[in-house]
Amino acid sequence: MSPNPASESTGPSPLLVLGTGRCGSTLVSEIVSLHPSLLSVSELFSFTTDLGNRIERAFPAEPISGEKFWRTMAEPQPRQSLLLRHGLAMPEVLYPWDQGRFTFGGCPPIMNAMIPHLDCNDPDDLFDRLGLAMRANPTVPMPDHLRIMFRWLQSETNTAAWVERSGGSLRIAHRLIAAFPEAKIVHLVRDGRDTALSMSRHIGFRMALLCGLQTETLGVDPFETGDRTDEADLTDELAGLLPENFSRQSFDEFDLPASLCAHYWSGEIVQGLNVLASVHPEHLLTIRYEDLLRTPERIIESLGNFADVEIADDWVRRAADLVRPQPPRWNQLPPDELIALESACAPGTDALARFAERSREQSLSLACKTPTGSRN
Amino acid sequence: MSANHHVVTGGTGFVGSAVILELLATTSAQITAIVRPNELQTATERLHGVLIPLVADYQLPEELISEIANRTRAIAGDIEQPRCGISDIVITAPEPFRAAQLEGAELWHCAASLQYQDRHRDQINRTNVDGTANVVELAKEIECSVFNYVSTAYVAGNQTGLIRPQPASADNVNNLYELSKIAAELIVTTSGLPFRVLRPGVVIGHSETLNAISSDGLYGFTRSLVKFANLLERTQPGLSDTLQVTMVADADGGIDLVPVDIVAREAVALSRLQSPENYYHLTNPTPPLIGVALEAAFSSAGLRNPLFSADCQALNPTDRKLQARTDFYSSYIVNAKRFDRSTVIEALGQQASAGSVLDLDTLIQYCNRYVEGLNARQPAAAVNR
Repeated sequence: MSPNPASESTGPSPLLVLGTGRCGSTLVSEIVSLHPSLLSVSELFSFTTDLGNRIERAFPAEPISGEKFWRTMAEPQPRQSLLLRHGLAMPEVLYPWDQGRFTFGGCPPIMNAMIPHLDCNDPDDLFDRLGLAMRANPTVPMPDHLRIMFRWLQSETNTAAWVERSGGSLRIAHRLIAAFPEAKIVHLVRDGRDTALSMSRHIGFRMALLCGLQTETLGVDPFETGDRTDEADLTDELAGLLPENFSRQSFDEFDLPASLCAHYWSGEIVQGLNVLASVHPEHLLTIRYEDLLRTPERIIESLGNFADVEIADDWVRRAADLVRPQPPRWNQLPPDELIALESACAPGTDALARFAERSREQSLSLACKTPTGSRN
Repeated sequence: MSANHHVVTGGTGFVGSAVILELLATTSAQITAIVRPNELQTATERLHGVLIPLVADYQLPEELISEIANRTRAIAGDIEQPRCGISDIVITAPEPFRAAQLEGAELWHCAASLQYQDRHRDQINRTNVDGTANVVELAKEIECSVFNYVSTAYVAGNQTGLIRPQPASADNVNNLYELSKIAAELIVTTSGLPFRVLRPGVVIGHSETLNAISSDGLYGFTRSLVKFANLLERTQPGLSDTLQVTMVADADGGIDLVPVDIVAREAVALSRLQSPENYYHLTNPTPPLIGVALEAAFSSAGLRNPLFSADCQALNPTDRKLQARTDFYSSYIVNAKRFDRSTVIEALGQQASAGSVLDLDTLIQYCNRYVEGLNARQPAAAVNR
């Protein structure tokens, strides 16, 4: 009988850092990576799901072999490859193109950010050794493959717990929580107005939302099929951004209103909070990005406490040094755009306020029930 | 005397097929359609594959099915080719299309591209402009008796008020489609052939059964809304129920929606009565209001009724995204206009249509019928979560 990988680990619980994307979560990965006990797994699901467009494929329902698991980690994805081929690298992409062997059109998903984030000196070597190990995995469910991979990387980095953080992973919160019931959850939240504004300018979100527009118009995903039956329904703008017509200039000129991103943000927040409502309050830490900017040391300490790791002054200081002031940008918008943006953000903002209120009430209730000093 | 042979382009299309059925029902003439064969069907198989189901769809007499078999034939051709790609041999030699049969036939040029985007400019011109020139060339060779050109009432472009049945000006166009139809009208009217320029409004399904084989006009607009609603749901579940968009539209003006059977009836009546060379607005004397038509389309698409504005400055960024998707249909919903039917009334007298009253419920039924078919053909794409 094979051991249950979920029950094997001892020590600090793993963490899943969830957010809508463009909410400051990359900074959290950088903070985590400075802690000697934590394995910072960055952007794993962003790239294995091809910017959120191949989620089903990244989370197969049936057990899979080690070979198949490794293909999910290593086979280049169409959207990300297309972007890179046109010189459109997201800031999250860390692979050293001038030193490594992978090219823009053929970069494995985990080499975009996850592996270089762990070893920026020789990511190719780490990738090769990881691949050798993972291909030998038995046929197990996807979450167990991931646990085996995290454990292997923990062994390599001599860390006690993994912390996975992928931009926009609130979208797959239900999958991640079901896959990793042993993990605690950090929910990172940023003002919806600034998040939406940032999404509208971010290569990855522009690509993801562009694909949504094309898919709804064509009735099929243009990256998965050559069926162009409804091509005539595409605006010239969207037709010019089909994979076969794609150009950097067209992508740069693609008009993605911040208010449309704000509608998306609200939807992600409302649905994400519905999922997070099932998480035990003691296993959920909500961090507001604006608080992290305002009082970095306090927030970093609370993150360390939540992760059950040692809070060394040196870590807190070095991590806080990463935090740079980021004044809000939404207040620079013209009045009509701001009205549309705020209106679109309202459902998400309201849902966050209700969730915070409910969490406060639950915390008070738990504090009344739990004797002082004890913890479960 | 009315022609005993008609040659039709676009016979597998919405208006062309209705014209053929009307010719079968009201004349004893033979009909030859110029049809592009496909990989699976000959030209005649393709033509009959469209016409025969329409007998039931339009609740026409069953006898019409044998009339289709006996009186209609198709020759393989392509209006984008010189002389429609039809060789001399086909025109002059083989059975059953002897030159004698085609000579003096009345020609109905119904084929057209309804594309309008800039990227389709070449296609639009190839089909609508060059294609019309090719059909004119063929018409001259067979010495056609009358060249009936099916254009559109909306060559009126951005004009408002009462639109006279007279040559249109390219100065007023909203899009490439309108421009191409004006150019094609000019090719026909300066060809030296006897002509009628037939200008239907926005053609919708059958007046009794509501059935249509069209995916353009009102249906194309509705499809854009359905896809927009799906996009909203993809962006945020429930958003299509809550979001109210603003559209630039003259809500209180008329939109000339006209059932296909009424267009075909008037067109063929003009032929039977040998009405003179002229421009004819095959439009609806009792058109619905633009606001009502939009309400029907939004309702069928599962969207809230829109707000209307005369000013595009009132649009927010999301509204503008919808506007971009429905840009082609702007010409129907802004610059409201009425079409002068005097040439039709003068030619047809009592046979001219009294109008088709299209209230909100009826229009919703038209749109629902289309949306049901659309959803059956193409369910909303799966959303990744």
